[in-house]
Amino acid sequence: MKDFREQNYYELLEVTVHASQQEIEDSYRQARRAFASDSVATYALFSPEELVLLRRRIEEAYRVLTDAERRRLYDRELSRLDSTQWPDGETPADTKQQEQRADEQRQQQEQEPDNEDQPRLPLVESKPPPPADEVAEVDPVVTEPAEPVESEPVESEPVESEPVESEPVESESAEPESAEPKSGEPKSGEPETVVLESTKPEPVGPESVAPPAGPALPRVEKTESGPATDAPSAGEAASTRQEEQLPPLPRIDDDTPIDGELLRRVRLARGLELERIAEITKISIYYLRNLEIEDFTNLPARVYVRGYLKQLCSILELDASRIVDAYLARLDAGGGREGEG
Amino acid sequence: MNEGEGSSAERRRQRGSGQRSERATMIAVGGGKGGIGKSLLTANLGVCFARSGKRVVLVDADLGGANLHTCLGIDLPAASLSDFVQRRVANLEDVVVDSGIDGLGLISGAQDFLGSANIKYTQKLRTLRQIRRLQADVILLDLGSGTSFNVLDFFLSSHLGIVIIVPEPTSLENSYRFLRSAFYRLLHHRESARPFLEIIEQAMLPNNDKAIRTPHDIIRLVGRMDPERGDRYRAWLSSFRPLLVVNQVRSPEDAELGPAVLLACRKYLGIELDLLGHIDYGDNVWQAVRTRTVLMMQDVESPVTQRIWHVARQIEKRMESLEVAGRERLKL
Repeated sequence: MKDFREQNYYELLEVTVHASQQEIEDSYRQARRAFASDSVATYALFSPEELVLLRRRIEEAYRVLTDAERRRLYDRELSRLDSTQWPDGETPADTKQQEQRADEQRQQQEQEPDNEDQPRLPLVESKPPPPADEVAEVDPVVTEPAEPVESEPVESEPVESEPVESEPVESESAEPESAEPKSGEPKSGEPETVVLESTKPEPVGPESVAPPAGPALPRVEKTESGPATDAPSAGEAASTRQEEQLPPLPRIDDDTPIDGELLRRVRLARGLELERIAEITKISIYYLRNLEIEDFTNLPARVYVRGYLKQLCSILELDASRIVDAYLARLDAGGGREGEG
Repeated sequence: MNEGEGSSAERRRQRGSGQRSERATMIAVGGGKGGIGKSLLTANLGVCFARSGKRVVLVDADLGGANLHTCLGIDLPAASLSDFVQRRVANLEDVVVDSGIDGLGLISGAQDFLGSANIKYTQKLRTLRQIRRLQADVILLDLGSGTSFNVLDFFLSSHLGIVIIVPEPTSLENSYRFLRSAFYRLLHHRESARPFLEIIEQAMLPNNDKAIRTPHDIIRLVGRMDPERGDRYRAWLSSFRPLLVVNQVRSPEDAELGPAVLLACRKYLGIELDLLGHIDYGDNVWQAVRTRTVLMMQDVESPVTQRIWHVARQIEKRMESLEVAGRERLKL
């Protein structure tokens, strides 16, 4: 039995590689229930961050394994990885990736102090290292940049959206149920760069999926409920529409107060509704709102607030190391609009 | 050769208080938290086994909080485990009292001295040794709450260990802590090399500075220093299979908790539990205690009794496979 962070999609869903569609469905449903945010079974076992990560991985596993074409590609990669031994579990990675890794580890150190040199699983198969600006390097999901795999089994996808150029449009990075990351420029040739599971060795906190500080890669959003039309549904509008309709991203420099208002402004600039964030993170919208309006008396214990903030930073593409402690300091100082919310 | 072995085993069995016969299956009932029905379930399972023709001894190992006799509807017996622990009685057999039910004996728990919850290691070994040799087919140990070494050692020394949970966060919190601690304790018993013992000891501290939170973390740390050892630990982890019973189930959702706990435990701790079943919450349970009767003796048709019978049969199946597969367990 492996740590769930190291499990492949089959292991995550606890099915065999020969599992039928039905078996996968059943297993997925059971896992969904067991790891729902209100499940008693996970109490005192998983941290909120771990649960978010696990749910995301299970969703991704389900999505890939129930799609015949994606599953086929995944199987191929699995068998290739089986025969590949990386020395000491070290994966080839370009320096940028390593820098980023180190950076993220620094951010995580408080909560995840022990991960500094975990043995790395041979998860990455990258013949040519991926271009530095490809998000593939931080996304713990299968990335199949080249081959056009578009058959999503369950849901209809809003738009085969026009190939968007790489600019920080919206952040769907932490979206658990969708986001097949697509590289901006449709490449040709075999998918030589397939990232299985987590590219990073320590996909722990939610910030592990935070897109690089540089330009984020736009993704095509696929939603479960989205109607099969060419137009994005109302809920998706904000995230798929052009950037100019959104308010500008607030500048954060050394004397910018890190407060609820800042969180709110960044969120608006990212075009995200509170409801959407609640959906992604499974954090109650009530708490999300209270974080923004700084209704500190109506927030859960500090440790949970820390977790929420980290998740929030991940989704808002904010530097958690900068935001989380500053916000908590504000909370500790007892400021905020007590009771006003 | 073979016949010789067979007959000598037979002889040993017949020798009565024979010094080396350990034919009984020892089953510990624990779960970390108090008030979840450990004693009641132990008593009622005891009745089930006795009714199916087995010789059963219940041992109230809840040192300091013993009340198994109450669950059997009898007065506090004069002789108890403390007499043996305190060496007032040399043979544990002599503190087995009649429960009033055919085939069911009881060793009542220690009541009299505060220190009994912290019996010394040597006393513990002596007690365990003699418990194993009790003349019985099944020995059911009713463990105390918490994760003290004594509780864990009784659990680990048994052939089968049952963890009881109820559908409440507090119960799960305690049970997960219990399972984790039990496995760490098992590692600690089996390991003898210093650097590795230190890792295990670190893991036992709740907020250890190595940030070891799960057996995976230990295996990873140890495996990095000594891959073979890591593999051995991994094998121990996969053969550590406590049994699980969900008690006080009040709704269909509650009944689904068992499979969910199995999944969560497997995913997070890597511990594979074996679900025996769930038992409904029933007023007749506490009513039976109040009227000083044993539920299984009175009420044979209620959903609760049916469920307990089911669990008892499941345990019997596990006992049979123990006979076949050999009886590996921690020998202290």
